[in-house]
Amino acid sequence: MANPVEQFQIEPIVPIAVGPIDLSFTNSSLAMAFAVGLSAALFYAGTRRLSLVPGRMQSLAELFYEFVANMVRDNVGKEGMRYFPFIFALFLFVFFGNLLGMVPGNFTFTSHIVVTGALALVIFIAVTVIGFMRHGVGYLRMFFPHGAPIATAPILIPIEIISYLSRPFSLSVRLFANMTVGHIMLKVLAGFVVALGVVGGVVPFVAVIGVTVLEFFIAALQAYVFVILTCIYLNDAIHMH
Amino acid sequence: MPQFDPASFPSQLFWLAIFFFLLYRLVVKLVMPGLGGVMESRQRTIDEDLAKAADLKARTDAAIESYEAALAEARGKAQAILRETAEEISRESEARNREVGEVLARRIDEGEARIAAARAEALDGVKDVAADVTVALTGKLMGEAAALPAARASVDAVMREAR
Repeated sequence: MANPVEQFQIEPIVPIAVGPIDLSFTNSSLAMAFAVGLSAALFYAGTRRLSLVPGRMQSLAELFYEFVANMVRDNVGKEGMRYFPFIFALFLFVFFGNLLGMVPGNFTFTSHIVVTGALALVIFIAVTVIGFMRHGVGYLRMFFPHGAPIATAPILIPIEIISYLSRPFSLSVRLFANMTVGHIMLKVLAGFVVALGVVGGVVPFVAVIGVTVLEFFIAALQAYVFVILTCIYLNDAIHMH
Repeated sequence: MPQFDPASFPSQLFWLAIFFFLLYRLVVKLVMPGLGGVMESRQRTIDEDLAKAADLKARTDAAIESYEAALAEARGKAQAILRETAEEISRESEARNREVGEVLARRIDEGEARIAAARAEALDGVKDVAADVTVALTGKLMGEAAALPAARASVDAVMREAR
């Protein structure tokens, strides 16, 4: 039986080395290429014959667009639409990354902490920069809730700073852990099917089917959570709280 | 776990940057102008159509209002004409009634006068005859005729008594 964490192994496909640094095109890179390619295919097909009354592919493309646009409008407001392209790209990347990870044999690049961490860090830095650009030093008021008694400041300010700084960690670990654990669970349960044979394997097989459905749901849900948290952070930066 | 092997980090970050940038360019170059544009123009078309519909509705309402005002005015005018005409007719017929009544009353008066005259004449005739008869009867019966004026006086007295 294969080790359940083997599926997360990075395998070089085209070895590339710049000096001592390994920049090989790997199975992870290939999965990213698939996610971007699928997005490109969807929006190429969806915008080929644009019309006021949308066709089938255009409706599908608009569904994605509207979904994220409404999320940004509802959570950030009109000013947030300036950052819509980035948020939309983020959603497509994570959503298709998660879903294509469910295709057997395909790599799930969102199950790697360095990928989710990099995305979360970019979001964190961007949101912080936007906050300081809009409010200047006033953005530091983020760390002291409006209307709280001044005596609570020594306790509240450190708590707020810690909660603010922990955002990129919770954002990245949530996605990475969900994807990793889901895939490990599938692999372990599928291993039981093989180990228990045709008769005994029926029970874990049914469980695998159920967990697979659950994993598809989680793949979509985590993409949504990742993006909606980005929207909430952006809203904090633009409107404070 | 392979997730915590730093050897693969540079390659993952490198390709992540490349592919995420590509996807971002795709959104900016293809999705925003194409899909965003068409959805915006659709929203604009819908808004314009709604505005046009609201405008047309307002104009329809105004037209209905002015039509109803004109109708009410015409109805009022018609009623005024009707009332005037009815008054005129009743006035005219009253005048004619009065006229005819006057003519009739005059004729009745005339007729009555004529009848009274005729009756007085007849009574006078009767009186003369009665007086004559009295003179003749007294002559025949008593051999001596009564005087005519006395006969007349007694006839008058008898007639006054009979009345």
